[in-house]
Amino acid sequence: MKKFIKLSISICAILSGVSCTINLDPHEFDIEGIKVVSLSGIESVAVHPKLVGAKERELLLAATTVIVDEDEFTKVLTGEVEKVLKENSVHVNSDSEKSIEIQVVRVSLQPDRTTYCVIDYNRKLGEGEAYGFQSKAKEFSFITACENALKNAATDILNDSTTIKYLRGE
Amino acid sequence: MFRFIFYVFIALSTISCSTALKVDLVADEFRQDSLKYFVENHGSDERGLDRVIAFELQDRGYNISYGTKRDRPEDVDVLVVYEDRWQWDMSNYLIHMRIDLRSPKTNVLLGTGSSYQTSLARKPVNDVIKNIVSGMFDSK
Repeated sequence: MKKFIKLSISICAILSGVSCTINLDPHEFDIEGIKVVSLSGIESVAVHPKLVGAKERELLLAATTVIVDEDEFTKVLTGEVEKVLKENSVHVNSDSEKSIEIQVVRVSLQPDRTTYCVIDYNRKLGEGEAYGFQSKAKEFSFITACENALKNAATDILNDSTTIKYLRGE
Repeated sequence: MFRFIFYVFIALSTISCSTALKVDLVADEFRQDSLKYFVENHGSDERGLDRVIAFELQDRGYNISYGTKRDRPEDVDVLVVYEDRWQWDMSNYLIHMRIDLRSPKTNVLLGTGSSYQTSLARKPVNDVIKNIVSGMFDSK
């Protein structure tokens, strides 16, 4: 079904004189296989999404108009981080003393011969300051590019040495 | 069949000379004359786009310097970073340019603007940068 949607988008973009409008919904992404080096020693953590409260934005990508909503990316990224923590026997509890706050601030698509999907996000540990990060991926399909960029962001958050040290209380 | 070819032709012609400028006006608190800005060359730009961006901001009255990471003063308030992507088509042209404002301390994104152009629509680098900077800093 997903391949069919991607094919339809491509045909639509090529054949249509007028632009197509596609909603880039991260909830439909297939994000599997996030690898973590080690989460041992971490008992409990709270993962909070911080929404920017922005409206959906339209991004022009050749003959296609792509609609993105950063807050939906924040929710999916937070969900993926929570999922991996649980899979690694870390107790995810909103009341935990240790907390990670995640906020996707900008999703950009950069057309080239392929498409770059760039995700700018902030990560805050406990009551500390929010730090900005960027993850990007390049694919022929912008959907796959954004899937990979989101997966890279989750992987980076869960393997970041500062985050791991904080969660372990070191 | 002819109709199909016609549609493909129209679509390709439209795509081949397209441009896209995506900019949002930077928040007031990061557009202040009192702030110190630094445009940071990412190290592989030998064309000196950092200087072009710096001059655009200087023309608007901002306190700005530019250079590589080593040149960055410690008391910078706003870091200006950019990403330039070039493509070859008879000659090199700037297919994509993105300019970000970031906090020098936390790297948090404070503002961003980007421009994309195809070969047939190619504009000089200075115009591309001017359009992005104008969209980010000039109140309408």
